[in-house]
Amino acid sequence: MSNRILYTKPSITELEVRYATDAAANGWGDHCYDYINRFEAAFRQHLGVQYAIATSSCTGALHMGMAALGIGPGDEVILADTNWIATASPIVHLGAKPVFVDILEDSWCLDPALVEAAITPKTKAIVAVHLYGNLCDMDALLAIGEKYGVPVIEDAAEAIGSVYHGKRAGSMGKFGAFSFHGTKTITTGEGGIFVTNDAELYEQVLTLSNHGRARGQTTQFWPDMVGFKYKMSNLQAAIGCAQMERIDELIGQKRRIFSYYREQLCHLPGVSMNPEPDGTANGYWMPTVVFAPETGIRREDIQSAFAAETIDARVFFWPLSSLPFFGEACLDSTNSQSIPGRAINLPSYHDLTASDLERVCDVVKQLVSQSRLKQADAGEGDVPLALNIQDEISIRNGQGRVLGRLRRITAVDLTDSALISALTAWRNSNQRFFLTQFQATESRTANWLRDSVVMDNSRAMYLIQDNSNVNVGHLGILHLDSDTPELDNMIRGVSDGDPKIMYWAEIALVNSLLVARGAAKVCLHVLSNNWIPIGIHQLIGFETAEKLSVSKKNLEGEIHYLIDSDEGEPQKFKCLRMVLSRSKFRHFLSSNTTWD
Amino acid sequence: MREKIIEVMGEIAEAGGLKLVAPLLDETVLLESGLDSLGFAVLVTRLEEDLGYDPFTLMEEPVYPRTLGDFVAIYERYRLPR
Repeated sequence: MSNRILYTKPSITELEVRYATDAAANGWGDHCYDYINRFEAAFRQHLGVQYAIATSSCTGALHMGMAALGIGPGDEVILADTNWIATASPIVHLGAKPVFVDILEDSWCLDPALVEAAITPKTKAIVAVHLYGNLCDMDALLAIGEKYGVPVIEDAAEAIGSVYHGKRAGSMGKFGAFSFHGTKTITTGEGGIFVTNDAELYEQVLTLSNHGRARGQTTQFWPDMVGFKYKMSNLQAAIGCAQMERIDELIGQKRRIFSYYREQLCHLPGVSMNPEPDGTANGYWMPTVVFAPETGIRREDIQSAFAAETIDARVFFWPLSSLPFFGEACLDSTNSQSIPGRAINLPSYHDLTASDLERVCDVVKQLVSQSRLKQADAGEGDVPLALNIQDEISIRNGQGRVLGRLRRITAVDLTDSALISALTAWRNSNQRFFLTQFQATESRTANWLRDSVVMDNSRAMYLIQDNSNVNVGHLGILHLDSDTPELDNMIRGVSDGDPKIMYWAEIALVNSLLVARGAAKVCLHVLSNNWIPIGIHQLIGFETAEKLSVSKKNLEGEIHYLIDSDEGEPQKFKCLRMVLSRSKFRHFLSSNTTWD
Repeated sequence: MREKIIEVMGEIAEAGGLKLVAPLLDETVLLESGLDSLGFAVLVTRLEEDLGYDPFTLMEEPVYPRTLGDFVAIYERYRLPR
């Protein structure tokens, strides 16, 4: 049985233990606020704000901030329908009404257009929750707030490390609130913080935070108003101080984890993850996978699949409007209703190992693979590619005679052991022309086919079949999502069929890309010693655009030919980048009426 | 060299059930010779085993043969000293 992978836990080192021990031993009497003051100062500096008040939770920080803004009975506060209840409960406790609006499909955060539509004379605030580290469209929300005279509050509980055009999440609104719960990027066990640049608001919250005792009040135990008790303890702050000393490292680990997930999963068909728009940085507190509706992958399937592998996975937040006690549905809740049913938060604690991450990714890949197989079995075809690539293309010679066909490899082929065996043998017999040379095995071929071909939306691989449906070779395309797709992986495996079927197959595929689909040009990379396909490429009209240097390096028993690298042993042959434009190919078609 | 190359081409064609054009002349276009691309890949591998070199790997500036004569000339040019 594999070890259980938790979805999150804190990163605690000797430093946290040392500070907490010191606080427990010495942080009393005159020193009872030392770590709190130090923690608040460190957080202010990190965030670039003037004021910070450490609290017992993010909810407490929100509660006090909203109270200080005067939110009360009869008022409305707009927030996203997709949130943890912690954002809504302070509104309810103050007697105001939470007004839920839908989220955007890509950021899973507030839809600014719906926010503006929801504004009424009763609106007292907009709460921008940066869900899972994803950033709200703060420019739009702040503009709406300014237009209607409504403060924007940032619930940045999940957004440590997220930066919006140079400003850290939580530093842009009227006030911000953070969480240091044990699941968060930095932790104090439980805890939170209120931050603002508004001096007056700060004084009000400071008073509220201390049972209503104002800072200037000289009479002992004399509250000036009814306040709250949401203070962070010195012991908690001690752990927080250690975490703040490591904050860049902790954010970096979160980003490293997401980077691994992105590399492994983002290209899978029907899979989307946390976005990071230009000009922003995502703290990636909670890497999240959302499956497209057409995949048919449901939350329950995902939970079962992860549970079977002893991996914790957390459900996407339920829409708050679906909770019976709120009693009022969210208007137009398309995304907040739909996304949770097909999404999951992935494990993301700082110390996840590469093998743990691989296990998590394997579950997601397996889900996608099974989904595609089900669709193929149901006769629904494969999940459509981004650019509607054809599944089958006839191969004809210059006189129009059909020589065979190009048939795209799909998920159903993953279980064809004879095909996997043939592809493995072809790879081995042609390995001298590959940039990476190793002894292929059937399991490695099967994994490659699954991960890098079938599940890569930007890639297609065609089997070249003769008229007897014998697989004689294959030909692939990369970068289908660009306007310059790249031919790849041209191999003749057996000698069946027409001797020139590879030539005609390439023409058929290039024709499909350039003429039928309207790509501007097609490119390819080929080692210059691989003169046989180069001859075919040249006949069709490909021209060498670049000659890139090649060096040879032996890595763990595999030969790697490196392109334009200072490493390795330089080779005399080159890597050619060849390009064929649409106009050049049209010229080839029109001037070669007697090709055969 | 010419005879050696034609001999190996014949063996590959026979093994693969391919029919070479006859006669094979210097002017014969390789693509029309009857060998398919797999056959040429095997030809290069066999010649490298028998002759000890692959001229296409030794070229600083790649040259591509169109005809059998071009192909033979390339192998002649890069022939290893005895």
